[in-house]
Amino acid sequence: MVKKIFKKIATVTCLTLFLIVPVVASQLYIGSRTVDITPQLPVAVTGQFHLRIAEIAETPLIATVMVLETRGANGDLAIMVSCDALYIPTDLVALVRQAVKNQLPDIDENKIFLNATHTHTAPVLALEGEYLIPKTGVTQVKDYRKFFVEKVSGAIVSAYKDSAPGSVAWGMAYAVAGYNRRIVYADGTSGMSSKTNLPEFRSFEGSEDHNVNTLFFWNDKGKLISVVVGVASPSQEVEGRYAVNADYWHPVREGIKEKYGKDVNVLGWAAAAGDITPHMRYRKDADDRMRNLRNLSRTEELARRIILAVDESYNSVATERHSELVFEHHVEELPLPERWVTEKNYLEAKAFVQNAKEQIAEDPKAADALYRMMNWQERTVKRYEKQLENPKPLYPMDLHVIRLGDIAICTNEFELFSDFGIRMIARSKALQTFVIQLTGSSDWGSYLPTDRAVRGGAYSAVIHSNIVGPVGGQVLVERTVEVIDQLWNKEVTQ
Amino acid sequence: MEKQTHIDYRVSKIKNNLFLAISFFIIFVAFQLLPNTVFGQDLYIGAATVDITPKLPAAVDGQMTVRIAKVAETPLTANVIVLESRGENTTVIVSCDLVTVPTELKEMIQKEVKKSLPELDEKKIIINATHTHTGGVVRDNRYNIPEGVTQVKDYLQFISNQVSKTIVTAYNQREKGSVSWGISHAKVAYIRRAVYEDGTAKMYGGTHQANFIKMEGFEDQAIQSLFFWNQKGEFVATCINVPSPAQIVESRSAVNADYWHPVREGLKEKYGQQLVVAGWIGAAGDQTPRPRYDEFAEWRMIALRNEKKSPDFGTHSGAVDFRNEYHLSEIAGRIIRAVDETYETVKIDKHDAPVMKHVVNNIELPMRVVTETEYDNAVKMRAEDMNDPERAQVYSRRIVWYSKVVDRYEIQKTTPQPMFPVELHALRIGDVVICTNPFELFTEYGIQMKARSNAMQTFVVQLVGPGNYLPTHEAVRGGHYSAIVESNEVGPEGGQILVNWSVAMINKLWPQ
Repeated sequence: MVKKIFKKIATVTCLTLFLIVPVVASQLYIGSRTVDITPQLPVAVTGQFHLRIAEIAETPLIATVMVLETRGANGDLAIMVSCDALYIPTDLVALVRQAVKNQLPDIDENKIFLNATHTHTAPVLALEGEYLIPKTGVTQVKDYRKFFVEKVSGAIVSAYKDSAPGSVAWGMAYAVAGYNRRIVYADGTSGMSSKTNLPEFRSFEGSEDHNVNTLFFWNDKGKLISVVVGVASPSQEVEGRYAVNADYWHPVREGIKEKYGKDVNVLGWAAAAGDITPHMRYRKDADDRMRNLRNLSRTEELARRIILAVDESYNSVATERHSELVFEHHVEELPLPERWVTEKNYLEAKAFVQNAKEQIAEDPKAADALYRMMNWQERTVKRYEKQLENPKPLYPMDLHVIRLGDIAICTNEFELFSDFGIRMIARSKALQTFVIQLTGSSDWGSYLPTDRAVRGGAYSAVIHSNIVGPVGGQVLVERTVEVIDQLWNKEVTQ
Repeated sequence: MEKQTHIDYRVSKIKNNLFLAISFFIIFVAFQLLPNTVFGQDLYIGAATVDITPKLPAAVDGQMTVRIAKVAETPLTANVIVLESRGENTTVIVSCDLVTVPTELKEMIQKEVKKSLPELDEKKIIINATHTHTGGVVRDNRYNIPEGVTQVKDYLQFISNQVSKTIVTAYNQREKGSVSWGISHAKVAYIRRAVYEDGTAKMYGGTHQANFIKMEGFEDQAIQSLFFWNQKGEFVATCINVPSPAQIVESRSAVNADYWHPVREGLKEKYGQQLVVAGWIGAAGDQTPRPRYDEFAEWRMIALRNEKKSPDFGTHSGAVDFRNEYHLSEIAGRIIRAVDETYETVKIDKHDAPVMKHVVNNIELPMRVVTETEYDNAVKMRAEDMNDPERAQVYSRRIVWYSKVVDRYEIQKTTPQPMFPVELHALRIGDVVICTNPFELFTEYGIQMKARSNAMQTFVVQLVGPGNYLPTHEAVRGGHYSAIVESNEVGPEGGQILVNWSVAMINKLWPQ
């Protein structure tokens, strides 16, 4: 009890200090690293309901680290890691933080966050429950997690130790790399990635955000060392393959390196894109013709568009670098109301799980197709049972909000539907607001749908797809905007 | 025996030759009988541009208040392209820097052209407006235009003369040529209807406030192009389809072709002064070319490109006015880059005998029904404007706007479901189709047409006719200008019929 009271007092004190202490423009220190996180083959790749074993790595998988720091009494730190992964389980984030803390005991490890580019052709990272992976002959999840933690924490430590004075510029352009994948029909129902060439097709359910936000970092010799690219589209163009593939981020990185130098570190940030796909949802033939005339694969075409946007921003902002600027990194655990599991949801899920168990018992091979789906629905069953004890369950989300000069960076742990991201961007006091989704996920990630999506139904907006629903989504928006406001309402001293 | 063998040989040879001759004949006849949906005829192309800038001072069309322009900041033009699939079809495309194309104007042009070119089917002239809000007034009896200012009837006559003469010129100059098509992207369309927590929507509503939920509809960032070359291989004409109205500087009291002027100038500079650029606006009733959120970030990038220096973000007040030359140039630059990119990609894929088919349908759509509440409101609002002489002058168009609702309600007493006549065109050129409608059509309808079309590319062209917003169900529920009964002659029910009919017209051009 006493501990709880102290904790509350500490939280209130921290928040009060956070609100009243003026911010100081300080010299920015930067460090960056790229590390290969391609698994040993064969390996199970995640992102579909059925088990897929990859025998080849079509591209390497990469984690890219960016360390931002200001020093002195008012100094702050952010360590951001972009990973070619479907999701980053929160327990894995904790392991990375701990591994870094072991080597850098003076840093606040909570200032580390990892985001997934959401490629569907990267290894399983959740310790259990996703697939029944063969016990031999295939890289085991625990082994890949160990490898991942070692590689990523090592890269963080190296980047941190190398941090040196540098500068940054930010820019924005656009590229059509994401398409809304939720299709609305005449009867009010929605489908995910369903057909549009039907008489009953009416509209796409939500918005698309075609902005490509960029950050460019130079060292004190004026050499470009890192580029951050924010795209509101998951890297899922080759999502169904039985292969390891970083999807469109691979040609994006290669193209940027070819143009700006082979040592440039490229961080890919997926903005709010829970309802977005890089697949064409209509006029595919027209797009395919253009791509074929250019002799490009679909991932190369997406990369071409994104790189054009990066180039355009770079050419406009490269002369406007900031080395002394306001830098603050706010971290908090944000409790979000969970989506309510109804009795009907519970009974349907329970029946499905029972049926799946019987099928698997009868034919163990059926697990390849059913196991993940069964566990997906079993989570709903367990949530309902927990609700009986705690009727107002809260999901504890790690919220990071960073002010870097005129821009804000804010994170969330979901596949966040685009409209929520647009709400944050529109209401933000920052010049530009970089929204990063999938920075840590419970289990294998979770969609966060809009009200309209829940009404429309279908995968990504059904109860099993969502730990947090539209109500929690609005809480996330409100709190994110509130923190951004606080960061911008402070007095800035030079 | 030997003789017999020789005879057999001769008979066999004759039989073989006969078989070959019959086969050739059958194949020849089959080719002749095949519809031109399989093989096209040689394509002939003629193109020309004509100035349609009104004599100044001129009233400009597109807002509720009367605006008198004393200056023409850019010329207004009509851009004409004549396409003939030799011996089969002739189509005339006319893109005009106007707010809409009133039926009266279309008929005047058709009549004039028919006088000079009796062989031309005047129904196959497609005239569209780029929807500039700084073009001369073409809608009669909408504004109280003072004396000494160009009058509507005179301006319509001027446009009709200029356009019809130019059609004749382009027709007479047509020569063998080729065509290609392509698609790229540019951010030009920004949805302009914001939705709030209580379910209401607002055109140009703020997005910074706490009750902002989302943008209402969808944006289509495709820039589709058609390219035409003459017999010498010179690039002579292009049609560019942009799903956003030419309304960057829409509120000025000046004549201005808006973003189409720098688009045309930029393309001519690159590809030669001979180039005729026809601007087609896609389904864009709910779109604007000006950003609605993240405005300062966009503005900073534009300012940086022009002044090499960021505007001071610390002192900005939140609102950004994009109605300026920098933004005109920015949007034109985006469109030009998209067109360039498309041109560079598809110039190796020219077609000199594409299938060409043009169908014109006249149909009727159910009108949006005026309710008693809407009628009462229109009567009240009209009275408020009319009872104040100053407002009656300034808001003359608004009075007409309300009066139309009052009139419609009266008509409904005898005709409970009045119908609205529309003319629709579907033009197939090779693998692509151009389909038209007379509305400010909300983007979702255009996307439905594109998604359901059998064509490889579907160019939706709005405002081929007198114009009026055609909103979605969601927009009607949200309310506000562009989705209220005063703004709509046809509502969502009619919109769906329009989509279904257009898709049927298109898909008939691609027999299974």
